[in-house]
Amino acid sequence: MTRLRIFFHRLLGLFLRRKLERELEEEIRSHLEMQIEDKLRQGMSLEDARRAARLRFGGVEQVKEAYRDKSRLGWIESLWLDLRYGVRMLLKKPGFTLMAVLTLSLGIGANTAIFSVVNMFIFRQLPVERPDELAAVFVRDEGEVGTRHSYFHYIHLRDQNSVFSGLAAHKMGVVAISAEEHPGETNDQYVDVIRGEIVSGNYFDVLGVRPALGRTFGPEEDRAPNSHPVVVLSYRSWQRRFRSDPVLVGRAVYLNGRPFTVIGITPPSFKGTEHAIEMDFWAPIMMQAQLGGGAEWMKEEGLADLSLLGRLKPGVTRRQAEAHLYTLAQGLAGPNPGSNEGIKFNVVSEIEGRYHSYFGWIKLIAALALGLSGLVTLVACANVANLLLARATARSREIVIRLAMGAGRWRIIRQLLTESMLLALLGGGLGLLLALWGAELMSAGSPFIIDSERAVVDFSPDLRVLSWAVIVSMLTGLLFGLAPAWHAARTDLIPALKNETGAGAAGSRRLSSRNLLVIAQLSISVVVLVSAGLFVKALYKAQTADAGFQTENLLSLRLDPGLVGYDAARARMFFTDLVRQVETLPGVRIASLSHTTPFGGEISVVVGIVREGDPPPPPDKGLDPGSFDTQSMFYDNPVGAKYFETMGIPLALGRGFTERDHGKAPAVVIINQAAARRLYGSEQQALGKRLRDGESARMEIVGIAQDGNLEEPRPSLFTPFLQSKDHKRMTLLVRATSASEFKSIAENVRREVRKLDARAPVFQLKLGEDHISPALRGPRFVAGISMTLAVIALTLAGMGLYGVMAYAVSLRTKEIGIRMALGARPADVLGLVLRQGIFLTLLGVALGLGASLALTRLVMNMLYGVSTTDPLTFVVIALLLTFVASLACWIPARRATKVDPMITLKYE
Amino acid sequence: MEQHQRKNEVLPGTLNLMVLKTLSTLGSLHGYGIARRIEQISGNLLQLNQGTIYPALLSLEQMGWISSKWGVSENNRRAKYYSITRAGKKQLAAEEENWRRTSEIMIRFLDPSEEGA
Repeated sequence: MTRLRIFFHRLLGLFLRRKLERELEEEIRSHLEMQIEDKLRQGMSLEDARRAARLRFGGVEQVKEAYRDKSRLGWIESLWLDLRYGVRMLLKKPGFTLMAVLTLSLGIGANTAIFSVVNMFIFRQLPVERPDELAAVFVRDEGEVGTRHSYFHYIHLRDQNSVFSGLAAHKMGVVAISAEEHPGETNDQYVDVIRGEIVSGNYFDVLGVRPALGRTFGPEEDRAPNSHPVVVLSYRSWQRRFRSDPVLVGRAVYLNGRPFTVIGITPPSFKGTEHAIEMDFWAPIMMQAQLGGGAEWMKEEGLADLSLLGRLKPGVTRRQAEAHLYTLAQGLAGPNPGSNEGIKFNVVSEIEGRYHSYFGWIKLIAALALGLSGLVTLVACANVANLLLARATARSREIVIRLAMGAGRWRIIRQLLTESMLLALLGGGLGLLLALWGAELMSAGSPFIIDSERAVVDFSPDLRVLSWAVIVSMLTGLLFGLAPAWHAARTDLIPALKNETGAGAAGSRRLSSRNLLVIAQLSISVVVLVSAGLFVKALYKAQTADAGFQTENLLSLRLDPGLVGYDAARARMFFTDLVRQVETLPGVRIASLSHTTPFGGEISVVVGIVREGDPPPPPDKGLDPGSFDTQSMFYDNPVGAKYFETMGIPLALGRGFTERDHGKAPAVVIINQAAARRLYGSEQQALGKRLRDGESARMEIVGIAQDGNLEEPRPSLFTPFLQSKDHKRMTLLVRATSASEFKSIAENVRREVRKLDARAPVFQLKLGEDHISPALRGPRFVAGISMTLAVIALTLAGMGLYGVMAYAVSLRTKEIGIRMALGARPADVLGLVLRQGIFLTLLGVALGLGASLALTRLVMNMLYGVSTTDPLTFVVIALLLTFVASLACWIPARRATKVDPMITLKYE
Repeated sequence: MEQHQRKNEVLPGTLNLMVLKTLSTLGSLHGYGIARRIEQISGNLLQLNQGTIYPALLSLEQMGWISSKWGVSENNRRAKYYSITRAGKKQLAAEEENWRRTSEIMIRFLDPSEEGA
């Protein structure tokens, strides 16, 4: 209590400083006068009285100091003084200040930029109530972790658990949307395809999302299938597609041609819970049949496509929930005996649930990026430390005078540190701005995108990023400020006063702190450069790898007439007609169809394939994905005639499909090399043999397709689309005569589609290289970031080296003058100066290469096929850095040769 | 040859106590008065720079044990008068008790008649 009183008194004292000083003055004066009077009365003379009074009183200044110390909060005062002094010093040398601030902004900015992207993907919670209570549920079956559950499991968990206050299910869905029931017939409206989530009735309640307009789902949505055709739209789609129509709520929109009532709009900040992608709509699970799910979805126990997200009850931890779910798992009797045995549930954070099984990979990239950017910050720190060291030498007179006047060394250090902090915060502030700009650039190229959807990027100011920037700034301030400050405070008084800090002082020693800093900078830059080099090389390899097909002049569009009610037969006719029409279009060389495309993100598998004559595969232990017999499972792709020609996939053996492979013709199949190897050991053996699937159908292998090497080839089967079962979503593939035809072809194709059926949704246009970009996104992103960081590091290191060399030359001006007066030629001087620089460079590069060798081993698995001791990259980097360093040395060296010996000798 | 009087330095903390006691005994007093009184009582055996009383007075005021008011002195001079507060009186009593006890114990230790038998 007393301490609080004292604190408040002193706080008040800060503001009432002058008044208190005046009053003390008066008190002291009064005191002295009274003392003098007393002495006078004792018989002393006025002079003696005065002296005696002063003696008895003691030192007035000391008393005032002691009083001052107690009357205010001393440390705030000193801090304020230090700050003002610091600002004054910084303003005095604007060049230095600018240089330091810019350097720091680069170093801190790069770091903060990377952190803000990492924050966006890894730390940022959903914009909902108490997001830390949310958790996702994964399933673990015999070692395989799956992130999706069947409806049957979901209901069981939802109703039986006692650890979640609510458990919701959600999955992604794609639908065709239009405001009119029959678009295109009476107007020019296209049908659009949008992505959203199909969710359980309690989804919004569990999350705690309040609608911006209207209402969200409730338990009635879960009661019976097909009973509640309602939809909630996202704020963005409401704004863009419906122009913020205020009376949209309550009206119907058409999803897949069927009317759904819009019952609400989500708030602008809520974007969905899958993959960090922006969702456009939410519809009830019970309406699945109309939204792309089969009509019998509820009965299909093997269908596991729901992600589970729940809100833990207050006080329940994820581990406790996991243990509880373990006991619940025992009660999950499946239809086939033993099908659900051994199932376990993992309860993970909501964020991890967002990314399903690639969270680990994301964390790895994040750590790598942060590590590299941290190195860049270190380089910047070294730069500024060097600048400060140079400044300190110049300021030694000022410091020494202060020391002589009685300032403690600690006070000086504190003051210098305050200056450093000031610089750091200024640099950090500027860096933060740079970071926001840079982060935006980075997210545009980020790999966490499905198809062409952009990841959710929210640049609203985040406290975490701000704190990070401040903390990093302060740490860097300490880091680069401490050494120079301590060094400065150790300045010897006498030589400094006599201005003898010239030759013979710090800079010319071989391994002075300045030189050490430069060496450190250079080695760190080497590490960053080498990493960048390796990633760039990996990207190059990925880009030039054989994708297995030709992307040049390839255009593709996806069509899904199934969304508007086509059955299989009608869809087949639709597609056949379409391909025929499209091939007559100008600019089209050849066209075909396929169900899935390489790197397209969608996969389709078929199980139970065996060679003719082999015993049938073991029965599935249930339709859980983990229990499939992997030996009889293949990727499959129903394709149109001329698929291989259109895609430019070479056939190792045999033939491709033609129009004659139709429904009534003998069943045929084409397999790829990987499949041939698995089934028969070699391609030659495979050709002409027959395969059987679970039913008795027998297919003859008429061709072997060649595999690419951009990614691990998966054993695949291709069947003629006319002989396949139920495929209503196909990709139209068009090989154009040249890329310039793309635009007109796309428009013409859309026109042809509309001629056939105006309601048919057309989406996902891909041109040329778009077809392999998903495989390149990862390498591209990593390469891009590391290259930027490398450039920054190189620039900073170059600047640092230049600074040191220029300073070293300035120190030796007198010596150079003497040498030249004694007959040294410019070339000799050049050599003299360069030698020092080259020595530093070589040392730095050598250290850096050594460190790189050690460190890059850590990131081996990120380097797609590039060995970490790739000698070419190392050599190139070493040469590059030596070149830059030489340039940095050469300029001041040249200036050294221009020294006029007469002038330097006169300047004593 | 003058006999140098050995003067004790003021122990830190005791100055506060002396001020409080002075104010408690003499009532309201200005800084000079307090300093003179302390010198008197100690019989000039205490080496005191009178000025040091002012920071001490500030401390005491900050802790709420004394209060101050500007007034006019005997010779018509403006001076700041200090008086002890109720909290100050409590503090004084506590410290007095403390001192008595401490000195009793110390005296007992240092009393030669107690050493050995």
